[in-house]
Amino acid sequence: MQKVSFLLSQMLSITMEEEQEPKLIHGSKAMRMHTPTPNPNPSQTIMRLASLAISFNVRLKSSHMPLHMQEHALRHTRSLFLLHHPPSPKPSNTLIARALKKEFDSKYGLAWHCVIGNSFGSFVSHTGGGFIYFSIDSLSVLLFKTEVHLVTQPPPT
Amino acid sequence: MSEDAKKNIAGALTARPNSDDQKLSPLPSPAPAVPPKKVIIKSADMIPDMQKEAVDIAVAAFEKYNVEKDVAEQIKKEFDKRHGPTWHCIVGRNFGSYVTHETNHFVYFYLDQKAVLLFKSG
Repeated sequence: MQKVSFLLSQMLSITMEEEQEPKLIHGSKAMRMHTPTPNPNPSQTIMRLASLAISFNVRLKSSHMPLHMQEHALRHTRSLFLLHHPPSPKPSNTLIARALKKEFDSKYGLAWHCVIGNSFGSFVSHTGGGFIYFSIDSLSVLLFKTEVHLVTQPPPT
Repeated sequence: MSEDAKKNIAGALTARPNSDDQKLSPLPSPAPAVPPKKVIIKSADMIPDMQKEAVDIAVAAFEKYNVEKDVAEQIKKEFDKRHGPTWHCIVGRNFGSYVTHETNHFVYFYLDQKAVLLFKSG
């Protein structure tokens, strides 16, 4: 059986903790915005994003991500919460993290990673344009992307 | 209660919880001493030596830092240094996660009440 591994190219580092502003480790970095269609009115999009955050009870803490992807993340997370809430009083963080990660994997390419909880600290690296950290209700959501290339050789261990 | 971290394995590998790796603390002695931390490997796709290394680095980091993000930073940077970039680390009492990791480079364990998720992606 052939094992598939991934090689990374171009990473940015950022440290995160709940209720604390992130600190960029690298002083300078190029932000690659992969917006499929140019945004004719960015301020209007920002306004819509802000109103969405209010109606969804979301606080955007930090992001390095095109606006349309931010909106997608907020909308999808809220819909997942609504989806999971009725049957059980408490949503499964793992299930929601899985669904959100897979949504972004399918829409924006591999590989996304998602962490959801109310008590965690993290230190991760991500590609430019692939990072968002927000809180929704009482939970924090960390979603980030690592750019990978497929290799055919087994990983060195 | 922390939920198990799940992972999307590249390939057909399946991760098995290593309950045999559970280490019990020794009985408390009369002399006042800091009891060693209870370690439980919940899930791993990683060679045993590297797993032990992760636990040792995490134990040292918890002794040195109080803030979870500092612990995570210490662990990630140490692994970036020893085993090449790029590693990611999550530390906390309560979180669920779902990640994609490189084959043979994933571990999820508990140190007392804190969960540590460490994986390589890239």
